Amino acid sequence: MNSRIRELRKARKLSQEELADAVGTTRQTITSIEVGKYTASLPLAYKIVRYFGLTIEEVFDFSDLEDGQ
Amino acid sequence: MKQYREKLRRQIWMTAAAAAVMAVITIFGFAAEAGLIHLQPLGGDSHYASAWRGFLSGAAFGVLAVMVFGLVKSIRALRNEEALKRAYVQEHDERQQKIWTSARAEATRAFLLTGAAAGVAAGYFSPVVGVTILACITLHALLCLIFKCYYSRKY
Repeated sequence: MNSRIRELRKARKLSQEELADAVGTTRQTITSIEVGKYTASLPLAYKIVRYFGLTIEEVFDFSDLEDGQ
Repeated sequence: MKQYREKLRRQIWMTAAAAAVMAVITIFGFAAEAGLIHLQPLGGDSHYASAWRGFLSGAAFGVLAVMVFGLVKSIRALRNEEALKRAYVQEHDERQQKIWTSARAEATRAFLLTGAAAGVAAGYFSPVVGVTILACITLHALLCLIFKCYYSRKY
């Protein structure tokens, strides 16, 4: 699943390590989510969107799911 | 974090106990190899006995080394809040958990397939070896089924 996490992170001048610490995960997980290799679980996705102060649709791209339907 | 600290304390005690057992096995193996004590498997010749003692001592020593490394890391984490938090995140990282779950599932599948083939092939050369391998495969498959039933009810 694609996301705007990298774009949002860079806009706030955050490193992957800093974002990982803020949401309680590892830098490797943030990397994998940013490149779309790994899909965050609901709790982790919630922590990320809450950190950025946005909605889940503004951070994650659900168009693949909608196309599948 | 308080619950994780308690869990880590319990883990340290259990690992220390297991490390003590590994140390005893290692010492006994080396002592037997040095001729200080008599420790011999029931079957096989002296060459096999020496190889078996060496394998057990070496394996126990390797496991002991890993356990000591883990113990030092856990004790350091208990003394330092940052290290504790890092250890917690590493242990509970969902991507790592998914990686291990997927790896174990594939390893189980590969073990069952290759083990069955090995058991059948070995049966043509040695009945004991062939039956032992097939018994291990059957036990593994039964355990997979039992745990699948358990987790189907749980979730």
